[in-house]
Amino acid sequence: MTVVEDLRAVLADLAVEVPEPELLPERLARACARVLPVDGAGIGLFPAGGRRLPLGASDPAAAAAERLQFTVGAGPCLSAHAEGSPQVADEASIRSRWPASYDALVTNTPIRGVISLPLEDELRGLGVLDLYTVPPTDVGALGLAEALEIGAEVTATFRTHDRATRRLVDGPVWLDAPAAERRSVVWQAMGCLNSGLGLDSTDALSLLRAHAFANGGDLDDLARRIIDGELPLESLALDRGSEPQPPSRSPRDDPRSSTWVSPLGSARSRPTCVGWAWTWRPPHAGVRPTTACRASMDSSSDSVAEVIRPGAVRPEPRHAQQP
Amino acid sequence: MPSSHDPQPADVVQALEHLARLSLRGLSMDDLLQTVADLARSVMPGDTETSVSLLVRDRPTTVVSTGQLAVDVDEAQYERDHGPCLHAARTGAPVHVADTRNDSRWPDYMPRAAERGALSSFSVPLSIDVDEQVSGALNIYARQAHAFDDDARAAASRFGPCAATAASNLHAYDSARRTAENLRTALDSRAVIDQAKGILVERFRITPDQAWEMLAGASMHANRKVRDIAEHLVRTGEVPTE
Repeated sequence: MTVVEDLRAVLADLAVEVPEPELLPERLARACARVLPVDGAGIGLFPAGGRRLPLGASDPAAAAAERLQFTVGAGPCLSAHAEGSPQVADEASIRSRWPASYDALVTNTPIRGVISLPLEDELRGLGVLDLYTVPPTDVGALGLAEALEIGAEVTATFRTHDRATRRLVDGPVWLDAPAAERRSVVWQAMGCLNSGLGLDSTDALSLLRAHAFANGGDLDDLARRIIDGELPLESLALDRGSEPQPPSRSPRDDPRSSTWVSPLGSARSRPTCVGWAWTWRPPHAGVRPTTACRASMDSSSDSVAEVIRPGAVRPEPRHAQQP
Repeated sequence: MPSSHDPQPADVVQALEHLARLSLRGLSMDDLLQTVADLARSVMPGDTETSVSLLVRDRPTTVVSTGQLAVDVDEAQYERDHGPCLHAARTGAPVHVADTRNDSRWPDYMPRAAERGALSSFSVPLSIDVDEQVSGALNIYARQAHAFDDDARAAASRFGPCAATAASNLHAYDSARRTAENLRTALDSRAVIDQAKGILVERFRITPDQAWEMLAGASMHANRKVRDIAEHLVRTGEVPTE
């Protein structure tokens, strides 16, 4: 059997074990790890704006390796995408080319070798297949031709799957993979920083990275804590050192005088929304209250209703539900 | 893209060999298919124009042609959804029309073809991707009646496999590019919606789910896509009022 036939056979078995369509990337990663002389695998996409979206990994270490590289903002996986060419990195070359990434990998995972392959066809310029080795396995054990064949088969599997589950509006169903959902909280946290600290998207992502890195955590966890209100934005702002400090009051406190710094770069005075019928439903009782970003906002005087449409039904601030 | 016409029919074997050499070089897929159309025309006797039609899930388009006559006559068939080119693509059987002025098949089409100046035609079916319901035809339209004798039809048929391969590559390439574009759009749209949710979470101390409801409500009210509302919010810090 060829390696591609092996992969298909393993995929067929896994489809019985984990049949959910959104888990296709995980099945592919697990199958790659099983049929190739590597110890782990992961599949990820690169949306615009320096983002990276993991779709699935073969095991927790492979998933961690992806998160660490995204947190550090460097590593073989990111270089494979940036350069559009396969990266084969043993321990020595990871250490010399991506030192921060190396430290993170060594501290948190047994992984010491990475092979990253840009995917082609439908995923050209978008997708990367990452393969990880743990000693005694060496990256040299994998022939690049074999790896490229598997890469092509991965893309072909997505293609066949998407034809069968045609969904045009919202992208393929595997974009709802759990790893992708987890990562999407980072984009939400970026929005939090746009709004609360007046940072543009690039700076917001950099600040999140710096904070996660300095505290030895990963970006996904940090984002989750911000969105859940466990981590006040002020504590992030402190990391900015001598850079301009965030406003002591949120820009929303006085819409007439404050400015909105657009994440796309241009600052303009922030208008209020008037004449817009707001269909707001108060939060359901029993929903866990969040204190997201509360520390950055010392006033609760305005609300959705006031900003969006004066006189509209005003939602209860979340913390008001706390006993 | 019309090409200059050599009145002397070229040698079929030479033309096919030329094509084989070309395919080995890095021509773009449009160029390759165009070359097939040009060469097929060059080996036909008489005054002809050729085209390649692609039927994707029964939706026909002319992907390359050597002249306006071929485009016009193809279009005349697409408008009525019948004719020799569509018949060849749908059934996989070659269709020969010796004289459009007195052929009784497709009565809607024949007079229109004759009126545009195509008095005879030959369509070679192209089998491209059965699973994806993609088929096609290499069409040759002549300005004379009875332009296609047995030899000419045999010669035209020999271009079928090559045209099918070139068309198949072109289709696969276009389809991959479209899929990639759709995927990129979906990814960007999800990212900007998440970022907008984050802005609302911070501003109104709500959960991401509630932020989504706000965006969805704004989208419904403004009759604009959630993505547009989110993009506007991320760009300007405001929820659009219109």
